[in-house]
Amino acid sequence: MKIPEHISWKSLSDKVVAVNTQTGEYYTMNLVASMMWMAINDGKDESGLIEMLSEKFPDMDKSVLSQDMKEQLEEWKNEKLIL
Amino acid sequence: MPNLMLTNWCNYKCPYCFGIDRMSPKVEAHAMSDDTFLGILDWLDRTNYRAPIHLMGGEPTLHPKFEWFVSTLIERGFPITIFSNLATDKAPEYADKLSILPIKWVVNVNNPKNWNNTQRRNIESALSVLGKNAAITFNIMPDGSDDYWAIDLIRRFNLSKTIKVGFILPTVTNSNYSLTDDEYLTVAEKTVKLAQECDRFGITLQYECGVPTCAFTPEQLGILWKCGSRLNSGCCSRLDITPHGEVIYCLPLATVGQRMYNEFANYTEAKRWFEGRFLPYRKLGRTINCATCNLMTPDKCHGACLAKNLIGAKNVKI
Ligand code: SF4
Ligand code: SF4
Repeated sequence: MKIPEHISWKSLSDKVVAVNTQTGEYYTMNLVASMMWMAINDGKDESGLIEMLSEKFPDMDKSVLSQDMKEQLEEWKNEKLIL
Repeated sequence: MPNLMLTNWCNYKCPYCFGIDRMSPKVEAHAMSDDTFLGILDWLDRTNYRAPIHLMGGEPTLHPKFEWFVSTLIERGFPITIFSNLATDKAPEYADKLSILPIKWVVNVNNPKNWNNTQRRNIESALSVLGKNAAITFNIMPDGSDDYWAIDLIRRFNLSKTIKVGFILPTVTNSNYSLTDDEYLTVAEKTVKLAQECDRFGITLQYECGVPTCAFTPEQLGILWKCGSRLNSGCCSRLDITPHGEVIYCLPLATVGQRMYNEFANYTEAKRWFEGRFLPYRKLGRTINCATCNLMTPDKCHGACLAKNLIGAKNVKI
């Protein structure tokens, strides 16, 4: 997974804002999505992401976390925010 | 019409200078050549409107052919505004010779208590001949001092009754001294105090680019309004052209994108090109609130300083 070059982004108060510089589409991410985004930027794959999320949210069921994560990644892929 | 940088060096070394990435000693010192200058004028002639050309630097009066630049512009019918600190040895002579011409001088001054004797002599002698043709501009510093010295200068030398104040802005590389978020609030408070004091003497404040409206409380904005010093600062009204003839959006963004002037048909096309390229990045904003702020439009605050907003942003490619 990687963030394509036409997505410019930055972190503002721990939340990621991103813009598709080709379409002008703008995205703000919540805290968890922002954590995932930063991890993708650091080169983590799906298993790395789930590991990171389980560490951050030890009380949450891993399968629920995994399902939420997959849905988020799917959405980002559809929006061409990640490749 | 653009800001023309005649030189890329300066007699001052202000720590807050946002031109630092394009200025000697960071890059080699260079003075605009006659050919580049004349080429730019021909190019500007292809734009069907005339607004003042801003002559700046570095420090423009350090250019050995400064007078020739000014007279050529006048002969060709370009209105001029000169941005100078007037502290150079040549400044009083130029001010004297040019004071009869309809040229506006915008004088960037630091607090006079920091001037040395030579600077004081040059600045005061130039101001005394320029009078109302000169308006002062300075950055409001986030320190405990007041800025009322500006009012004294205006009254003493009968200068223009407007002051252009700025908030120190960072380069996109974050290489100069600039304000922290808290300091923005301190500077906003000092700005309001200065506007109130100025109002007593019929002086109004205008603002450099990049002053965020949300640094002020609604009450402070109301006071500014009442004093006739209404905040109306946005980002980038004109492009800069370096001594080499490169067009940049502005000095703080100089490292992000540049094109030679003659790559564009005329100034209007260059302006449109840069505006268009930078437009999507504006949405990244200054704070998370910019996304929903009703001042996030080109004619209003628009996230204030784009250079500040792009510090740390990834995938910025113009
Ligand atoms: S980015 Fe805009 S506000 Fe900032 S210095 Fe450049 S023109 Fe001024
Ligand atoms: S556009 Fe952004 S920086 Fe400007 S006033 Fe609104 S929230 Fe503040």
